[in-house]
Amino acid sequence: MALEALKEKVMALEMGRVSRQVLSLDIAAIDQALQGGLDMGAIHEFTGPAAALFAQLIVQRRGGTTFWLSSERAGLEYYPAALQQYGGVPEKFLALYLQNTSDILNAAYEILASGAVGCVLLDLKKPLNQTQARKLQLAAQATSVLGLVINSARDAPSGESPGMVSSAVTRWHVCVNAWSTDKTRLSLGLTKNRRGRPHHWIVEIDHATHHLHLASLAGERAADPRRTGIGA
Amino acid sequence: MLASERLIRAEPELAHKPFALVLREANRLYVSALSGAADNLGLVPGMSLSDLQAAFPDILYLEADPLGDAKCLQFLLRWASRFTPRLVRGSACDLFLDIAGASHLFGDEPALLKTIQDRLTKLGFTARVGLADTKAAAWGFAHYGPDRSNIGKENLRKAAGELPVEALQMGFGPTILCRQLGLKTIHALLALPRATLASRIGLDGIKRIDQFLGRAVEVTKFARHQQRLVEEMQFPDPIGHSVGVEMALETLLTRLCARLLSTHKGIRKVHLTLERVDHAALSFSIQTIRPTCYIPALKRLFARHLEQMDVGFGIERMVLHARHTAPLSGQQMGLGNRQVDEQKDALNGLIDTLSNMFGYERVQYFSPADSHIPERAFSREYALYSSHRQSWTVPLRKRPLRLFRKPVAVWLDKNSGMDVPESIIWQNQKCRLTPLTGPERIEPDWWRDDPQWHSGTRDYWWVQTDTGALLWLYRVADPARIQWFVHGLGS
Repeated sequence: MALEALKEKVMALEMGRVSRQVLSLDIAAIDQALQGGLDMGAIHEFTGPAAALFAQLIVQRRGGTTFWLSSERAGLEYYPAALQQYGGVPEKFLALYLQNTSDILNAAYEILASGAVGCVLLDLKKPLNQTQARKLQLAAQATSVLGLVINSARDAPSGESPGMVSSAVTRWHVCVNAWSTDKTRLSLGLTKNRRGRPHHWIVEIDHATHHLHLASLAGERAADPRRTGIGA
Repeated sequence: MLASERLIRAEPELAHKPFALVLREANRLYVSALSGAADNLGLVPGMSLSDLQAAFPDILYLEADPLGDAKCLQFLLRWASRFTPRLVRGSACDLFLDIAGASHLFGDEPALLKTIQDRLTKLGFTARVGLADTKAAAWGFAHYGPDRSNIGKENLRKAAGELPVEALQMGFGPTILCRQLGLKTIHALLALPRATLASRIGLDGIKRIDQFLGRAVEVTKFARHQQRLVEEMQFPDPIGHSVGVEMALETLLTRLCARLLSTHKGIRKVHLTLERVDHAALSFSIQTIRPTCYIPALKRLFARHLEQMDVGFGIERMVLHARHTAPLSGQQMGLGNRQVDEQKDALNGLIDTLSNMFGYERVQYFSPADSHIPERAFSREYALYSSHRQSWTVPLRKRPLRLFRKPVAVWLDKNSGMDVPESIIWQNQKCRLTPLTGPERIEPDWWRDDPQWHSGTRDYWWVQTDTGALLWLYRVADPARIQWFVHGLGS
């Protein structure tokens, strides 16, 4: 037990915190792979075609006010009128439209550091570079805010390109596997994991309860970068 | 004349030169005002510029600035508030002062008139002053009576008799009519029987006469006299360092907030002006979501501006002006759940910071709107001003998580007719589609001309791509030209 406690302590210290604070995803397998859950006060990245859908689930589990930061030129916007269908709370959803990426990062820094919100959603065209991600991580580390970076356009994880090594705690690659009127099946790849090895799961979202559960235990294998998406 | 004397005040070397101010009206340039020296040459306002140049080829003429004149008059109005708090601007260059109960402060009424006139002369303005018991009479005597006329109630009727009919301000028509009938003075007008007079000059004319003589009431709405929430500080030696500026700002904020707190009010918007030694002025303003008198928070909002300012050779004066204040709400005084309040305060503080950093129009809340058109089902509110939250209703049909501001046309590699295409080119990738639900027909609002909906009725489908995305696809239901668009994403 002492070893477990020590491990926890080291993990917290690594993130510059006194104690580790995690958000459990309520799925034992995933929580175990993340050593307890998603780290709060940290930056997480979401890629793949269903990145926003999975990020929305995290936002819903975290609760609190959500800030969505985007470029004013971005053509794709969150649709508040239907947010409830995805488990969101439109009254607690704030949008911030900014001129350029540096403004977005400044605003994200300010929001993360204030600790007054639950989540910050960053919609970025390009993935964060090492410096940017580190700065945001530093801003968030004293709080319990989740910094969620969505890069829908970024495709299958072909390893980290040089100079693009991000210091996010986790990175996920999410695709929709199947859809029916009552549930959506997602292929969930944990492509970067500071708490352990990469993983891959098939999960299902219940549309009525917005609850996430594991669909197939057979999917729990180390993720192969070349074999994600449908039919895995 | 105000317009020319204002210029002389700004440029004293103009004082002895005859000059004219020229205004453009449609295609005509005409003289709108003359300097005192030009007046003596026999020129009159209203003559055209070409006439003026024909008479005096080398006369100086400048462009008139009616807006600047109005500002100058507004300044004089504020200046005149030292004589009485009740004052108002009239038309053209008139100022009305209600000196009831104020004249004894300056001696007596004649002394007050003299004081006003002398002080205006010192400022460089020629003024005609008149005092009477009614506003209309005061105007008439100031314009047409002897200078500094002071007319009491008892001799108003007698003194008024000498004035020309123009003093009544009856309007253009009745005045000209009186002139044509040979009724040149008010005396001549008053000698006529009232009934016949009414049929000539109209009831409005009669009313003007009554107002002049104090027989009818003339309602005057005085300029709203506000307590100016201004604090200022003058430095004996200019400050060249931001620490000094910050300390001075704190003092000013403390003074201003103390004044506001005595009336239970808080700052919503405050404006800071820093005057530099070289007469340049730096000004910043900040706004807050809730009225506040919490000095550290206000200081922090200013901090960002102060970091970026250029003090040059130093700041010699600082002015802090509360532009917008509101009553402090009970919530701020620590009622209710402490922890919830703290969290709410932190969020409000954050909204303040972001709104002041990037512009308040960029931070938005959403509120529901009643429309079946997807992009009209919500509206945006500026977070800094958003007041109440309405409750949202869940749409009956599945709607996307994210919506495209402008629907994106998709490329088809082969024509599929009216059916959902088997594959499309989406984000530079060829995707095979699996239809999930649909079609859902959405009709445009016929009463609204929305360019995005010019193509008419749409049929929406939900489809899944083999790359793992959920698309909200629609087809323009025009059989001649079938086109497919992606309107939103469900993933």
